[in-house]
Amino acid sequence: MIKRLARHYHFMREHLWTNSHLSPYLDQEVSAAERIRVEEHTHVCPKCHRMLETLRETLEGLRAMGAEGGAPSGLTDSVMERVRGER
Amino acid sequence: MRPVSHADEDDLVARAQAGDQGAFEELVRRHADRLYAVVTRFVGDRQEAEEVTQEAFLRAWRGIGRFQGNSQFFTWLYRIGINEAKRRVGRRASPAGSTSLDEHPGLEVSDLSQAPETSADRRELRGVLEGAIRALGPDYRAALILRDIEGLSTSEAAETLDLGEAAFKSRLHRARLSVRKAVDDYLGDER
Repeated sequence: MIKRLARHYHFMREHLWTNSHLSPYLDQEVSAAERIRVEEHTHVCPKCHRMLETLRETLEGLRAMGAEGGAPSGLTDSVMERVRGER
Repeated sequence: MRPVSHADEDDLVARAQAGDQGAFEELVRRHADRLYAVVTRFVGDRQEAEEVTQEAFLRAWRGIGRFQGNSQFFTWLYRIGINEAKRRVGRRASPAGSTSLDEHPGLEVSDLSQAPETSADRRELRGVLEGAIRALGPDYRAALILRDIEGLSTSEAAETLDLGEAAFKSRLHRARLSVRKAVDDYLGDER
């Protein structure tokens, strides 16, 4: 009974810790020990595993939205016209 | 695009601070595309983004004497752009469906076996992402745009928003979870 409670406590502690470290894990901003800790928990926790995968796909989608096209032609000229108008 | 060298840009900034409009024009040319991209993501409208970007550069010109070089020029410039964009967005009424991050503390996860495969699916997913970004509060939206769309490093993005890295990471994580939920909801509806 006590062992079961201890295992449950350990699992929930790892669950909470892992959830708070998913972002830095995906950003590769965790230590080697922390990386292993995230991977060990997501290996045994289906919920965290799916959370990690959906977050990974979300970030991939966001990164694909990066710089498209440029500023409208003439923007620099418009800015400088206003700058020259300032005294 | 980052400047060719910091020394080169430092020289342009110094000259602009001395009143050299030609030097400031070169700074505008170098940073217009990226600043416009950030502002467009923030305000969600290209015409408005053009106005905001122009205004941001004008504010930068007026305030360039106060730039002390403690940060990189582009992070200072992005900060001006983000603040101007926030002012513009703040004047609007809250969009329907605006989401407070505090309303979704516990995020359920659904199965992702129906991830988008076709280009039409990807376009639709992109629409979901754009809507989710617009629904974020301005502070969270700025963090997400700078880090995850524009690709600034954590330290650069935190500096732009005048935050410590820990505070920035916390804000970014909450923004990501909110957008992730929109993606999860969309994928759930597609099943």
